Amino acid sequence: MPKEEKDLLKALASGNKMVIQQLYSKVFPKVKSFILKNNGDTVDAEDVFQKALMQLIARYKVQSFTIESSFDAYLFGTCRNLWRRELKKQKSVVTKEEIITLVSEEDQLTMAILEQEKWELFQEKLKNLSDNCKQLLELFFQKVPYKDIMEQLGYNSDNVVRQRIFNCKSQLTKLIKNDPRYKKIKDV
Amino acid sequence: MSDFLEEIDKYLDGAMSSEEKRTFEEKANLDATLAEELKLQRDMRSIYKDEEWIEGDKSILKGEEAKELGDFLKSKEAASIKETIKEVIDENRSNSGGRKFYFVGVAAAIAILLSIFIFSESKYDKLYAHYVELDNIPSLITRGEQENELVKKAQLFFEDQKYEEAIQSFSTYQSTNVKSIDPLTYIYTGVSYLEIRDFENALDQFELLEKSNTLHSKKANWYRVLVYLKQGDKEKLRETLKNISSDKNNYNFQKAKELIKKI
Repeated sequence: MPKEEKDLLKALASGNKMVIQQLYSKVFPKVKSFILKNNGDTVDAEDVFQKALMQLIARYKVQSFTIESSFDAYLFGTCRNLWRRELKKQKSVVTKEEIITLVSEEDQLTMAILEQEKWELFQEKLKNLSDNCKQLLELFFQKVPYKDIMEQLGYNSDNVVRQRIFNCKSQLTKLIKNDPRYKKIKDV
Repeated sequence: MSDFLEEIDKYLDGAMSSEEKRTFEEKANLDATLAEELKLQRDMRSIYKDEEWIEGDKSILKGEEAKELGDFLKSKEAASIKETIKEVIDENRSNSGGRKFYFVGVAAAIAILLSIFIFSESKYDKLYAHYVELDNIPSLITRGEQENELVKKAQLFFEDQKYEEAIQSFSTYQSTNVKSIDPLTYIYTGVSYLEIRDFENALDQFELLEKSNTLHSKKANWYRVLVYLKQGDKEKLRETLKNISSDKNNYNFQKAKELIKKI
């Protein structure tokens, strides 16, 4: 992680108000516009922004946590995932009949962190595959039919595509499972 | 593992007969390795599809890492950092809001002057019209998702200000979807009732909203404010506004403070 990013993370984790203000100015407008476009309002955006910062700080304090991309991009990505998480939770909201189990805010944040860690591991491993595999798997996971993939990428038969995807997927599975982090997050 | 993968794919693709499916599920129940592999493949499919977020299994909260994270998040240190973040957000909000409120204030003053001379509409009605912000309720129609036709129809009625039709469609939606109800429909239905001055039913909807235990729950009190405003129930209005403005984390804290001065 570049020194600049490292210092920023350290200052943020100490609760430095100027750093928080700086991140707010640079990142919050993007977060807000993303959330407004995706069924949320300003209050939601503020809530997500605050939770994302707490997430980064907690991860920094508890584990040796590094940021590979730019800090701003990373923070935005975290906000984006937190909002997707919130939307999912709203969707699966249950009605009066079901007993609502209360999970504390801290537990919610912890769950979000562990889910985010899993998400990052999966994304990182996908990047390690060959370009060809990445392309094939992206289409596969988007549920594009084999036949369409065959036509789009110029393969001779959908059977070849099927086999190729199977191999890529086995590779990806292996990469994920061989990473030491997998053991820690596999039950998430 | 590889022999599993083919089978799992078939299962997740929905390409198994019901007999095969039953056998497979039984096997996964008994075989921990297969169960783990199935979970991994299922997770891969949802994570890489990049649409729906997958919620983790809460039993992980008992794990070591979760405990450490939880300890930090519950610490005084974390609480004080959180406070600082909130301060920054609040300060920025009031900076950008300040100017806007000035213009809104001028506009409201003109509107009030006009209303004295031209209309005899009550002050509360004016305030209601100013605060209800019908266009600002998040849309129920989301991009790229299978929409519930009923909800779509209901929202269109709402937008056309055909509130009675909207209520009818929303009520049918709410009574037929037992499994999960979009909490936003409580807001839409509540406001529809409010627009036709059916205050009892409006309050019921906001009660359901509060109990939905979602991010929208915290908005319930603000919508109650709108009910009392339109109803002209000064006592309850004041009480609810006080409640909201007692904690700056409450939804529309600023607006509540502003409104309490006006009434």
